[in-house]
Amino acid sequence: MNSATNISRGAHATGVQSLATRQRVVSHGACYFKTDRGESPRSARQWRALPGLLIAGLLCLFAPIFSHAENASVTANVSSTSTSVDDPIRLTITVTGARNANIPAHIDADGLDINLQGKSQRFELSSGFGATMSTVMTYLVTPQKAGKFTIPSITLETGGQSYTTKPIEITVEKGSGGNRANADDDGSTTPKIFAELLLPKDTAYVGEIVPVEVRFYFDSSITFQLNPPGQSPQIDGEGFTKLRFPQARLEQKSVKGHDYRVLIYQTSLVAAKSGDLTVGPASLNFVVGMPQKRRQRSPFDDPFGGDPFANFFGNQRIEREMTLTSDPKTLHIKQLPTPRPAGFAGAVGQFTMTASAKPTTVKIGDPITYSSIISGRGNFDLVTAPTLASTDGWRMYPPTGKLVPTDEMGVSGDKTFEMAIIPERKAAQLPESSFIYFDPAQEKYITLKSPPIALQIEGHASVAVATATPVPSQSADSAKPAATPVAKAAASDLPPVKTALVGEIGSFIPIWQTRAFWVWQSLPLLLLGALVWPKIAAALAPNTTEATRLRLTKEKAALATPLRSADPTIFFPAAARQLEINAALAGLLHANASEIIQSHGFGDDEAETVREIFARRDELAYGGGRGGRELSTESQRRFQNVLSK
Amino acid sequence: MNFLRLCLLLLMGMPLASAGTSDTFAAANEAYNKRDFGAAIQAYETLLRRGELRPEIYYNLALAHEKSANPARAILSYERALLLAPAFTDAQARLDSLSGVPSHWWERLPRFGSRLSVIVAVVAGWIFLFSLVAQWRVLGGTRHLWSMTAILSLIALAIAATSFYLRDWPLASPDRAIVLKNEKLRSNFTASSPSILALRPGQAVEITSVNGPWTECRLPDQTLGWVASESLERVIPRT
Repeated sequence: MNSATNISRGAHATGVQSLATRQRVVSHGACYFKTDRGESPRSARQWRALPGLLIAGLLCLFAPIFSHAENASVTANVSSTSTSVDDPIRLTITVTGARNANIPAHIDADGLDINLQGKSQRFELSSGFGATMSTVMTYLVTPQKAGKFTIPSITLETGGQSYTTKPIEITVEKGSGGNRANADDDGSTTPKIFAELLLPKDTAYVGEIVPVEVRFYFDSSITFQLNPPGQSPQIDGEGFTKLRFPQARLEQKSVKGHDYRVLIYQTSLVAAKSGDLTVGPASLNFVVGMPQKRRQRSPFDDPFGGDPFANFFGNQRIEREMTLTSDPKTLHIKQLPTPRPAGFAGAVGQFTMTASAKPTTVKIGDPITYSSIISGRGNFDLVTAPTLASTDGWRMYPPTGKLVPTDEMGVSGDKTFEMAIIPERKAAQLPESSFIYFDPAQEKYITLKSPPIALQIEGHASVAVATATPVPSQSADSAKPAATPVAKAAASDLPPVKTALVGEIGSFIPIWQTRAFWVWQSLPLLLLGALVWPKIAAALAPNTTEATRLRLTKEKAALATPLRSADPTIFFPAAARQLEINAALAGLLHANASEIIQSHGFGDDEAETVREIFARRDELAYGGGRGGRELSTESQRRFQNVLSK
Repeated sequence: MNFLRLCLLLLMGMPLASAGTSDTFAAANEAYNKRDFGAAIQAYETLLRRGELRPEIYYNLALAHEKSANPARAILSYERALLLAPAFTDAQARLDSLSGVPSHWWERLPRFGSRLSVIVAVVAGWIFLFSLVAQWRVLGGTRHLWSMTAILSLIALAIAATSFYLRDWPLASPDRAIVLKNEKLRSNFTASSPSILALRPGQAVEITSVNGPWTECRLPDQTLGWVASESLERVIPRT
């Protein structure tokens, strides 16, 4: 090979898939089927073909140059001669000095899956007027198992001659079961993907809720997605019940100086038997995008395919389907201590209890609803209704239980039990109730007791109630609603009927569909109308006396400001108008100064002042007067004296 | 004169009618106490057909159905008793023991009944309107007084309307029905259409439409499907 300029090397994305690993090569930032510009696949293909056509034209132009090519050779190289199972390496076959070599899409090799990943071409200019064309074929070699394997000799035919590569030996080490995966061929030994199963304790009791956390670590350069989406981790093992996984959360964590994106799942286990239980391994399927080293792209690489923009701007990624698996953990499960107290039904955790009854004033034979709420954290499946200390004199029905969880796993919450209790004789209080559970933190049985509830049981029911055999409130299916009472079938177990018909005959017709309802509605409507009508009538009829009075009153109120002015041009028109309004409100419409003086019975001085007001107003209006000087305080007081009368 | 005669006859007839009701009621109760639940049910239903819509009769009828192992009809009768007398605690306790504790908190609030809720809401509404009009100085009193009255009446109106909407209307809706026997909710109105889920007797549903012998209904979880009409009965009987 001459000292030529190496313009480009590298593979392009072709999307060749291996049946074993179904690896896909995509360009970072560009989707396989649709470009980032949102083009349709057809237009994207046309766009991609454009540089290819240009390059093809150039190749035709320089065809005479390549006709000088001679001394063809074929070489094969691998990116690494040692790898691990499922970690692919790259095989590169370079054909120099020849074109149109036959290219096998798949190479058969024991323990290796070798598939063509891409093809590129380059030419090297030699000193003088000559050039050498090279074709580079890139294969992805995926080891299937551990051991030593050989990439066999590959024979290529070009220009009527055969060329054979040398065999290459590959050493494949065992993978770490999928829980550790390194990046491709960058030589790094730091785990880039791994899974972890965390148990906060290594010893627990049968029936105890044990929190479990499963973490999946991904190097920040690796993309991942669940495969299929929405699945939850699988935790292998026997002897325990796994509760459902709530929504996972994604966190950023640093482990030994490496930044990871960590997908965290939390759930709980409940051990069903004692002994050493193996929890896990936990596993989950992903499609991960491994970054590939970025290389320069030759304009002669695959002129009719690939996305030039994606390959130029983005790094290539290899997408792989992968099952991440954690290491298993051992959990030692202890039996609950014996002897177990009577009434213990298997509840393990931490709980509190409240109880109430309603109504508290009843007659013999009337039902009382007894409610008790067990709150806390534990195995609510085995939390049963509290038992009453004494059932003598009480008839009971099986309780109904309903859990209202306060977390997504249903481990914490409030379980409400309701039980119908019927007093068969007088009693001052409901007996106390108790609930027994085992607290694993304190490692002992705890008995919760509710205090007796005071009752007022009056008289006798209408139907005589004989003594019935009480039924213990603890029943196997206490959580189910009671369909029928389970009291002993005897004449005395009949709930008492009502013997008196109290009140009037009722109706199912809604009140708003009755005529009486709307008749009654008319009364306030009429009253409201009567109250509002005068106002409305006054507003609608402006020429009535009332309307005039309202208008004049409003006008008079508006004169207050000009009457405080010392400016004669403002004061006198306002003062004259006020005198006219006063006269009009007194029943003297359109009165002049003399009539106003006469009607008000003003004295001489006041009459003189009134005349002056009207004269000054007329002078301003008709005489073109400017009003003269500002009014003195003394003058204003004199005028106001008259106006206020 | 004729009018007076009519009044007299009515006054005389009322105690007679009442006496007939009392006798039938007592006879029904006696049959119940003798565990002849079939006769008791017949007698109670006779009274109801006569128009004696009383909560006590529905309550006793429900007890008789309960004892004759017909919880669905018992639930239906308890619900009807509660519609007539929302504060009927015995009926409520027995209904709860049959159909389970309500799942929502507002379903455990005391019921005023649709009548009382509507009356309170309407009265509060009128007071609110009068308080607004009084601001126009058509009534005595200060503006402050009428403003306070308006606010208080608005609060009362809101409480009554909320109570009606949450507690009374869902139970008093004319479309509410009870499933009377084990039945399947189907995706269409044919017996051969696929079953969506099984309905239990006593389950409450909301009727959305009727197509011949099939009724479309909605479950509390909003599931829609078709049920044979004969397996349902409306809580509010059609008159």
